Amino acid sequence: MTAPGTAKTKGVAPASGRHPLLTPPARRFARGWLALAVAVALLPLALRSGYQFTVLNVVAVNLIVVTGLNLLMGYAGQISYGHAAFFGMGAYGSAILSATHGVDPWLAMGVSACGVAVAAAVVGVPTLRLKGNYLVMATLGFNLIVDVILVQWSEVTGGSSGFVGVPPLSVAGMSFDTDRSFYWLAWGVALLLLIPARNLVHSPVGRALRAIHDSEPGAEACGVPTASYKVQVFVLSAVFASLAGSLHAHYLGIVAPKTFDIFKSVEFVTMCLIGGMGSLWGGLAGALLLTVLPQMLGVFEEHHDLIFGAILLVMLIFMPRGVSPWLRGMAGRMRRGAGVGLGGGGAPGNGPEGREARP
Amino acid sequence: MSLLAVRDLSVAFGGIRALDAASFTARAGAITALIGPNGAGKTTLVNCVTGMVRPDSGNVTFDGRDITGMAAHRLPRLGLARTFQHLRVFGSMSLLENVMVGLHGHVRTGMLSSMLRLPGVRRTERAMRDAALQALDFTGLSGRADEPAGLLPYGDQKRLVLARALVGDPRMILLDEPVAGLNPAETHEMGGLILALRARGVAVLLIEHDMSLVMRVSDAVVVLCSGAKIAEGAPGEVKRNPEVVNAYLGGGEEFGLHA
Repeated sequence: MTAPGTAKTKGVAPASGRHPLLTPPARRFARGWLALAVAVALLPLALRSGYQFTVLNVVAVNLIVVTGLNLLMGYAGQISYGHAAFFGMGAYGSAILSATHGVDPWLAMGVSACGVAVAAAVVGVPTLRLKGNYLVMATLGFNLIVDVILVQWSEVTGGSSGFVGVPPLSVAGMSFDTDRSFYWLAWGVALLLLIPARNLVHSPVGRALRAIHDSEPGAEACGVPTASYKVQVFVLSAVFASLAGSLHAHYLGIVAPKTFDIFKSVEFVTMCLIGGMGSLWGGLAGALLLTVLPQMLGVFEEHHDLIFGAILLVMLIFMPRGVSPWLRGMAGRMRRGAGVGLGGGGAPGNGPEGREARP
Repeated sequence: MSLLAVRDLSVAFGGIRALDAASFTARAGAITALIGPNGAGKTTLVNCVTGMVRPDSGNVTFDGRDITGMAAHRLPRLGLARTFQHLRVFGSMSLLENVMVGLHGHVRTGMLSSMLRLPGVRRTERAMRDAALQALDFTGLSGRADEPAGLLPYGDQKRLVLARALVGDPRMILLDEPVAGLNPAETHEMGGLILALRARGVAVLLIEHDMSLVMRVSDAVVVLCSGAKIAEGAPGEVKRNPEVVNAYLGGGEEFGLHA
């Protein structure tokens, strides 16, 4: 560092050559997205029963929630144990508007999402000033309130026994009321919503969200309006949950408050955690694992909760960053073992700890 | 011409007067050092200037504009950047990304346009990348642009946060103890960087305990004690000021390292 003034411009040209517009992680995402789309398209050929479709449909709905929640938790670092409430508000909004008031299901879905956005902003402005455990408590409390309302306001919501007769979504006379037809809708929406999420992550705003995660005062001093961004991403993730809730309601035709209690919120957070926070593919891994695994463990009958818990425990011990970063680390190790991949001073970001575990 | 002007700033926390009608000015394009013993009110003053603490009375103007109590995130866009004593590096991000965040005050794209990836977002991204690489080059870190910032040695992190502050082309950078924890060689290098900032026309407000650095680089020194300014002037004058000597050493001994 002898003459900083004169050195100012000379490194720019070759350096920007090293950073093409579609960055390696962005290209990785494009490949991964296409692979997932192909898998979704081909999978029905291998599926036998409607039950298998049902499970995968639930995976898709959960994936939508987790994708949004990951933007909030994995990227911006704000924990919410209240997303089952937004999921439920979307579901009940859709159910009540379409079944009770005869609104078109698609419109009901949109109106519910707008309502949830407003509710999330109202909840988010005061609660997102809190940090860590206090934010957890505030969002848990919010979920409890919504849960109580869903049960107690029975003339509108149907009370604890639930709300029946929600009409299915349909396009041009074709309605998504079977396991097989809904499969295409749910996975179509899930795949579609991954794109704006990915765009956000790979934008200046996405970077600012991660900066908030690492150091809020640091981000603020860099010009990031931290309070506003936190509320915005909270609203965004609530809208994702609401859309998923609407899909859920129109698919099953019945909604019940038990589906939207705090345990569901815990489940969503666990999916983020197990899959890998701050990784959109981690969301997929988490949604898949935590939806399919309990079904497969059904063979253990009354012991299945025990085994499920043990599996989660072991996973968190051996993959503390989640499945997706762990897999990436394994892949990196294997490449290096084969003698290709990274040279001597290779980027530690691709190392086994998966520091850049972002899609 | 004064770029930053602090007038009669007073702040009390409970019964404790952290600042008591403190005033000073800092010129454009110059290095102004703010010194004082521990507890003098330097941190509170910095927090008032950077929008972290709202003063009970008094005001702060930057470039003729009243910025008293202005939200911290609005300051970089006005040309006032800062670093922190406790770095606040974005540890999970690469050096390049850290510095790109430093440009966020100038970014006009919102969440929605980012999600739709409108053409403007790509252009912004490329411009940010180039500017960030230049700033890294200035601090001698461009060769490590893709490394995770959290794994960087402490001395390099200090240079990284400097790059993050200067990337937006500010008119003034507020450096909060830039050489605390650095070894003599690193301290010397940082002094060079601070002088290079001034050569680029960037004013520096330097909060620092290292007197040899202060004496070496400063154009003006402001001494704070018990929440009020007790001296202001060229480094040489301030060093010999009996009140300053008294404040630092409780009287008697010779003040100042040989700089």
